Amino acid sequence: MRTVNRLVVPTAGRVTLDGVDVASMDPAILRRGIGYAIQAVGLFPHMTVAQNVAVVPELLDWGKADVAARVDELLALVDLDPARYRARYPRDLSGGEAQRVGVARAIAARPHALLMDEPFGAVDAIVRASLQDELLKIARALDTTVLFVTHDVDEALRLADRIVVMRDGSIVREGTPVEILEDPRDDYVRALFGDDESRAFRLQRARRAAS
Amino acid sequence: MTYLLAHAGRVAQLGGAHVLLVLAALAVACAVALPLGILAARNPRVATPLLGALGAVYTIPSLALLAVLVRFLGLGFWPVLVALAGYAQFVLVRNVVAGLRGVPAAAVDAARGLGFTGAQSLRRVELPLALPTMLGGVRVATVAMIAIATLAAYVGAGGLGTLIFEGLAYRQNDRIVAGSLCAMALAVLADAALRAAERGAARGR
Repeated sequence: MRTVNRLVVPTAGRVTLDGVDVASMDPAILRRGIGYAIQAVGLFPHMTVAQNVAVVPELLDWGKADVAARVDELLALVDLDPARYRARYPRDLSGGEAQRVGVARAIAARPHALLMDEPFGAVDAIVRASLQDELLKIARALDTTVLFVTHDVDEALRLADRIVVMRDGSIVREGTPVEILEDPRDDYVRALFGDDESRAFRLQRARRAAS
Repeated sequence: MTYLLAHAGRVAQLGGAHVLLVLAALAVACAVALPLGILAARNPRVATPLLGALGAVYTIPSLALLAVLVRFLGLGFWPVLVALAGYAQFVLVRNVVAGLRGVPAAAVDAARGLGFTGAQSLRRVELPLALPTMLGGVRVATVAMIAIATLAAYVGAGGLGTLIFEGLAYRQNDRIVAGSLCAMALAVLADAALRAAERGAARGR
């Protein structure tokens, strides 16, 4: 995932984004156009919630008024009351609130692509489900391609249009949730999505969601 | 105490010179230590030998260092400036390195991933987060410099040490007490002010 925004330079092969080889772009400019949310969140502890969310719009030199309006809009979007949260510091946030702010920061400048590395890893199942719902809503509203890394197969099945199963750094299966559940093709993939019974249950749910 | 009260004007003048000497040395010391610290924080291979060398400088007796510097720079302000700034390097650089290394890795990764250039990440994320630790180094260095700067009088650079050396020469303990008390008071004040600055810099964390 980190090869897409050039935090890691691939030893072989190339990464293209909207048809452009990312290696040909200035890394900082490239990254400002790609949302980035990670499991550790990485909010800046010396900045308020509003300042954290405003980071990329400010790097892109948006006007002050535009930035302020966008911050409020984003906080509302991730279900945090702007009036209550704007001036808080990250240390005053719960894990779930911090991850919401992390997502808001990642999508602040309406990126064409969004990289998410287990962004909901540090929260309980209930908060996670609501963050997943919000992400689906946001991704549809922004029409943004999301590259999402997770170890949670149900999270993958729930969020993804296409799933790529990786093992030891190689792709072992790629397809829609329904395709993969119907025909895992590989013992590792089969085991990953559970025994026959739970895979059948997941397939049912995926078909319902797809229709 | 009687000297201090009877010659308050002169003591204040020497105290002012003392403060100026320390401030000038501190400014030079910080201007040198900050880039050195950034370099060392980014290159662990540089950090160990650099801190070792600066630590060695730190152990040279101040009077000996001053004597050597006088041979090259003559008497007066300059050898004292270099000696003070040189002594401060160890503490200052060490704290810049510690401060930068203490910045949460996730914050640095996020800064790069969101599109900060290296310089922007340093200025807007890493240095502000390292600031409380760096100010801790400035505080310790300043207190030490105020004490060491009393030796300035020995090479003709003035300051509160003048009173101490006069006291030694004339066997007037009163002058020694006056010079020492003022230097101590300066150190205590500087310590308190820089502690407050550290707390201010750590606000919100």
